Amino acid sequence: MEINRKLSDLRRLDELSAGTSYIHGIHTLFILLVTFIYIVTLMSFDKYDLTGILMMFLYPVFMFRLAELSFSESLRKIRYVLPFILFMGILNIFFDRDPYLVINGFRLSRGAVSFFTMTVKGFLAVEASYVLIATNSIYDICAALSMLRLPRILISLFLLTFRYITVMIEEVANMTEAYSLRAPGQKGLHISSWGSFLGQLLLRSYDKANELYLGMEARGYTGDLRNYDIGKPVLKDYVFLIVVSALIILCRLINVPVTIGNLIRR
Amino acid sequence: MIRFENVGFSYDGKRQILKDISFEIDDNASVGLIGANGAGKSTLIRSVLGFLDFSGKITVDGTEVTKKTLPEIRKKIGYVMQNSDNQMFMPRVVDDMAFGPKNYGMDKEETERRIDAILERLSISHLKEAYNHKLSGGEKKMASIATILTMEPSILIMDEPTSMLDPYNRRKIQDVIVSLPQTKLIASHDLDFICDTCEKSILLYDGEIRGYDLTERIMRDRDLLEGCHLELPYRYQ
Ligand SMILES: Nc1ncnc2c1ncn2[C@@H]1O[C@H](COP(=O)(O)OP(=O)(O)O)[C@@H](O)[C@H]1O
Ligand SMILES: [Mg+2]
Repeated sequence: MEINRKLSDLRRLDELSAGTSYIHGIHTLFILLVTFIYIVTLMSFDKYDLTGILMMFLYPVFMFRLAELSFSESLRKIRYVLPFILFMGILNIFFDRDPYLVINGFRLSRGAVSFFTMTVKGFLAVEASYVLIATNSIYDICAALSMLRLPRILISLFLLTFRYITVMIEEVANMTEAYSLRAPGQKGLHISSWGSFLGQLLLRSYDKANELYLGMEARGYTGDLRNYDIGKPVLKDYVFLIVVSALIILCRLINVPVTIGNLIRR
Repeated sequence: MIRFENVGFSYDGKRQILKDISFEIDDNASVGLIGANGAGKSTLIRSVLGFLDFSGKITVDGTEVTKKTLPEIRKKIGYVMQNSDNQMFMPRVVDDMAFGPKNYGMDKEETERRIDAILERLSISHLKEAYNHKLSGGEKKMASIATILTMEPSILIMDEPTSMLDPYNRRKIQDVIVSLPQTKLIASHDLDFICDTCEKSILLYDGEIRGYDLTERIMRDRDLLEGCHLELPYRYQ
């Protein structure tokens, strides 16, 4: 069933985050910082700089390698986000019709270029975030965020949303299962049941959410993870941060296709 | 020590779920909280943990349960929830066990040491790296007890620890509970289980205490039990 699959998607992220690769061994705060630096660098590219951005592919490629993640699995996981990424850039095609490049009568508009650039940017940013999420538990990430002194209300919101979503999906799965048992041969939920189904869902998830919060509170959760110990950074964490950030910035500065072009022209 | 003084509670402001409850539990005692469905067992437990706005006074080791003292109270009490799925929220058993100690800022080595000792004690060392969502009902209950024990509480409160367990796992949980030295308050309508784990019992009916005595004395009193919609345990039938 579709819902059960979504749930196992979330669970799979949990499983991934418990891995033992090199990246899994890096302190969460440092992966968070590197991800942040990468995304900011990515966003700093001009929206027509399609060739420049190519170098930025190196980061996910290496990170996937080091983290022992599967690229195709990541594509499957982020498939729900991809349409949004495409949608953000697509208007450019219609509004920005000036030519960017004309070769033998083939005309590439500026809008098309910026559409590609934005799509690639969005895609890379999502992949970079995927690496972060797939190699760190949500609790570690939240604890790292609070080390960065982010407002505790934000962190709390982030954490609980994540926690409740899993539960909501579980609740929907249970309810649809119960429903389909008593409505055999029927595909989906009949429209006449939507109202009561939704009402039930809200009530149930409200109770459940309360219960979950109690469960966390009973184990010392106090609204944020300020005291939550995610270990002290060690030398390899600093090395990781410095080396990877330097490489990211290097990739920002060197435009390989253009450099090669220049060399050839000389 | 847990002490209730004239505690009352109502969810909706109309129907009283707890009615003028007073009792005391001594240190290192094991007390069963028995009663039919809806008697108010879970509600009573939640009030000790400060999850509810009750009237009257509850003290734990002399500290009154109020908004302000909650962190202190919760550090003392280990609460094993009825539904282990609500209790466990980390990917693996070991992560879940570490959540409490990490929140209290305990360092990594000490946490690790504690986790191993407790897994050993519950004979579930093989579950250390297991994923929570792949555990069976019995394993999950064991693991959720383990997550609570890593916080080294001096009081253990359990809500229906044997619901959803088969006889074999029920037996295992029973052995574990008996071997734990903490002060225990165990809510259950499984009277045979309470007979095997608790010296004394509190009988709750419709939000009132109908009896607080040695477990054996309560369990042999057919009239008392039947008046509270419970049946004699098998061993006394
Ligand atoms: N969240 C709630 N809101 C309103 N009423 C509740 C709530 N939880 C329990 N009750 C009511 O309180 C009474 C006692 O419930 P509970 O303490 O769960 O009993 P027990 O655990 O002994 O089965 C029941 O009648 C139940 O309907
Ligand atoms: Mg109950």
